[in-house]
Amino acid sequence: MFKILLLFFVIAGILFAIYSVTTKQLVRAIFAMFACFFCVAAVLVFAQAEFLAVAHLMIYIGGIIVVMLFAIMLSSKNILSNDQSKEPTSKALKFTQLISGLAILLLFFGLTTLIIPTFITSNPIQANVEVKVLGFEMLSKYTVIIELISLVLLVALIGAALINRKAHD
Amino acid sequence: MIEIETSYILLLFGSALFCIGLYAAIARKNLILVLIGIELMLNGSIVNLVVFDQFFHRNQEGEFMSLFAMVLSAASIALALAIIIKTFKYKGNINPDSITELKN
Repeated sequence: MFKILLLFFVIAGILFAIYSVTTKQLVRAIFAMFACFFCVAAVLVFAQAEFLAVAHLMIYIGGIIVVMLFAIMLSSKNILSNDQSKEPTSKALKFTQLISGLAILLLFFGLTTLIIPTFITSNPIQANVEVKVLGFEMLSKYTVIIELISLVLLVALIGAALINRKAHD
Repeated sequence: MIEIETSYILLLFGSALFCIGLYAAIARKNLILVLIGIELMLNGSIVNLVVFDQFFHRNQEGEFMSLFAMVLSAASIALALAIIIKTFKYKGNINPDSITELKN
């Protein structure tokens, strides 16, 4: 039962990811990405990382998707229709897409048949780590990194606001 | 039903997400879809980090690293969207091939 549910979420996630990168409509791509991120969060729950799954839901679905939708919807109507569906796809572009798709398919099969089987283990999944332990480590071992990351986030947000500011002077 | 190890399913999921994202980042001609591809690649690596933490190392380092990766990807999305909108205002399209110079 555990594995059937896990396989369901894995297959759904992969299908949504494929749909999101192959569709021609931008909003559909973003919503498919939303569904794919939801599946990733579910898979993280199956890997016994509940704290990470909740953080994933909050950051990606609550933050990134909303930011992308707002940025696209509020900026301009043309950015949505400005897609390659309007202009005819050139032969060179199709060729490039075909070649890169084949190369990446090769990479995927190489990974799944050559690299990953050397790591397969029948270890049981680690017992659920308490959030308490994570909190203690966050405030003892990783304090400096967390401060640095908050600084990076602040600088990035200020930079994003500065880039899109209307120039008055 | 064939028995497959859970770690194999999870690693497969991570590598599939990474490959799909790589395809989008290379082949699509729309900056927002390229951004989606980069996000999918980051998600694949997050799944990989968590799996290797849970099945091999067992000391929560992978969980913390993926948490930091998530925050950094949030920062990168904010900046990249700002740059994309600015590009759209200047150029009128968001084709990555049309961006050939830094200053216009």
